[in-house]
Amino acid sequence: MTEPTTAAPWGDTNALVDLLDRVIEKGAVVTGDVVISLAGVDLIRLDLRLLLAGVESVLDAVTNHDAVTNRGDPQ
Amino acid sequence: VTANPEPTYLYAITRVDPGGYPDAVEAAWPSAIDGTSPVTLVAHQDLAAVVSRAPLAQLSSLPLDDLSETSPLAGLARRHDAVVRAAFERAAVLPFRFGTLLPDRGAVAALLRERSSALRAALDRTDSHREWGVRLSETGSPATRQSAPRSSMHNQPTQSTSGTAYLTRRRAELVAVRARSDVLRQAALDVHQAFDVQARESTVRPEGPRAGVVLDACYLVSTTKEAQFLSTAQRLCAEYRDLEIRLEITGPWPPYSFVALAPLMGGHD
Repeated sequence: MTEPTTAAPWGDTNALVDLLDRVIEKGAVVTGDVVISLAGVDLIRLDLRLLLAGVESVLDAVTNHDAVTNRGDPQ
Repeated sequence: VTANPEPTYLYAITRVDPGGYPDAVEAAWPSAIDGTSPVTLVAHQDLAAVVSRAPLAQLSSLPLDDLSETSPLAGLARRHDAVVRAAFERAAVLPFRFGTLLPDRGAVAALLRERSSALRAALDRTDSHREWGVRLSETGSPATRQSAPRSSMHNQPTQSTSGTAYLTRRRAELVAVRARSDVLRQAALDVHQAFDVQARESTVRPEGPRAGVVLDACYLVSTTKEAQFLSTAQRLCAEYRDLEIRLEITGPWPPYSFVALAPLMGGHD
């Protein structure tokens, strides 16, 4: 399957925020906790939880920034 | 095998031709999430998991305060996505969530073996379909946006003589805001309906904190219906531009938002 040349000339298909939205918040999970422990140690489970929170705050920051920019109201 | 289990990073599950596996399929993968390791397959019959060595150090020390385009997370996410997309160019995929690990390749093989029927059903569901993102947001009308009835306490008239004029103006503003929000709500319903009828499945993100966004949805579209889907997008984009509403399309994506599998291993914890 190749990329259609008509794909979204009016959108930013490469936006990092849309990618993170998908690869971090969606997709199959192996366990309910995303990552299983290795040798009894939860290697990155905690980090991923923080990561999710981080991504949400970035989503907020990005969209609020957009809104401010669109209003032309630097506040 | 058990002497040196190697933590394994999972990108996606896909289908392989049992006869053609593995050399032809492994020839042209992009670099793994760590940037150096090879991407390989763990196969079971017609199913295969796309995997590589797990970048444990990179994942566990990932700085979380930097999510810019040049951040480590952005780099890892883009490499994860590149591998998923490479698999998706060959066959249907079920993408794993970023950061999914198993202790070793044996555990990956066990996963494929034990969940093979659920995995096949999920692959069948999304086969020959791709995901498209649709976002509808307000672009214009700064006057109506700014006059949203937030904290009217701060807008009290400073002089009592201006009270009537203030109330009249305020009432007009509220009417305008209400009319505008009706327009936006209807636009979200209409746009979703127009795309939903062309999609196999859709997901609509509940109204979140993203300012000005009135519809944030994903559609799983058959490749045979993409031309029609995109032409609808083009038409709606022009229509709503006049109403100062922006329609953004992203894609095509692997079916990240349509995996819809229960956790593949129950009962952990």
